[in-house]
Amino acid sequence: MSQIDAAEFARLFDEAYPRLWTIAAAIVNDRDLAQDIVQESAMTGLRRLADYQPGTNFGAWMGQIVRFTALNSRRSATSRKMQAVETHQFSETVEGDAAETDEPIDRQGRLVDDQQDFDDEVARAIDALDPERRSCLLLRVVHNLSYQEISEQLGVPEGTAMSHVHRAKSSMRKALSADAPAPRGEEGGRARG
Amino acid sequence: MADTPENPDMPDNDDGELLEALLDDRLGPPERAAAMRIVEADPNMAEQVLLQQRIDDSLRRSFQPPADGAAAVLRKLSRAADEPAVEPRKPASADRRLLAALLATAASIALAISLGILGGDEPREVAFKPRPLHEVYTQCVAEGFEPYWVCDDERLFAATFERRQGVPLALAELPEDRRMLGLAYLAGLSRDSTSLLGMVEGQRVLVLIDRADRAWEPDTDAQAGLNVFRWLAGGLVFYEVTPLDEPSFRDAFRFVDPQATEPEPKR
Repeated sequence: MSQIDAAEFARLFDEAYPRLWTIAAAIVNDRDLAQDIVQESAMTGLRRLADYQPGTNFGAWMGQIVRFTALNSRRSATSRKMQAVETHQFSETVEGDAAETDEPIDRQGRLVDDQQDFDDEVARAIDALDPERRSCLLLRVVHNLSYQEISEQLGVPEGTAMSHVHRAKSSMRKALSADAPAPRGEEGGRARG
Repeated sequence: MADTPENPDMPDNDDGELLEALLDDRLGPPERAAAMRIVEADPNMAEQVLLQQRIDDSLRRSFQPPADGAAAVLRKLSRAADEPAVEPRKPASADRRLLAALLATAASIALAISLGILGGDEPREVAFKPRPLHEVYTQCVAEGFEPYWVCDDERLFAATFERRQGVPLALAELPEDRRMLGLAYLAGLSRDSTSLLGMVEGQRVLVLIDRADRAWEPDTDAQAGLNVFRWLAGGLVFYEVTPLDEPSFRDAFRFVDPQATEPEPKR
């Protein structure tokens, strides 16, 4: 079987990188860790270069490697943090351990005005989503991918990808809307610790 | 679609579906205009649209991939593959084959990086932004003055220059007090120039090479205690940025015959 050479791998990887990083970031929800995962995945991809068939979707092939690597990392982290509270790595302005407390954020019946505060709330809301749903949402919103492209990238049916995006958007709007009661956990809005 | 999107926030009617499509940015201009008219007439819908736009903007800010992330990954791969050469190990035969493959791969990747074929549109735009040579030198030193590619294969070295500058170039024998560290990819220079990092008696020296007929004319004003020397040879233009008062690498290059097994001087 023919095989792409390293320079071609580098070119294809460079092209696919933004989406690969986003998939990793969506699963682990941590910028630095996402980069490490893409790094590890690139090494895995190189080792398995013979498995890649030239002419097929390189991004989808590497995307699967990134996805599995990220999920493994997430599983390991989860088992390590049984006693710990998960902080949100995208919320850099949260003071101290505020994100880890059970104190609800004072919404005062309206959206927060400050952009950074709003970003923090968005970060908490997206943290509450299932990783696959988060991946679909981010590929759609950040990279403006079509549902067919998301389907190819993540190996999920188009309809499922669309459903994930709609449900994710709906869930986040609900979590961030003026009258949201600040519920906890998956799909309910803001996730705390 | 295999499954129907559900949105508890939206009305369960045609307007609701239209609004969903609007929020998902799936509408063409006429449909979008129609949807906006509906939205404008309904404060609740308008609030939902504004909120979704704000959320989307926030996600784009927070989940923007690192600009130089791909190049950073490939550089690390290259360094990782080079590590065994620094600290020799005795891998098993299968590992040895893998290691050899990785080393070859890493060398090619590092080459690709140094030649600027990576990085997508954005880095290429940056690469074309002209900067004074003393500034490029200063930044390179601040970042550790480390080459991205150390090439021990003279034919590969010459092939690199032939492909990029149209002239197969090789290193000549250097005096004991100076050595070439390797090639570097330095933002701020032309994508078509090749940069080499050298050391002369502990002093860092930067050499830039490009085709003489290229219109690229970098700012060569000597600043920050640096001198810039320029010379022409074999259709190439050379710039040497150095803290020293004399150029050190003027005789450091020779032109080779790519057809010949052994490189031959053409000068």
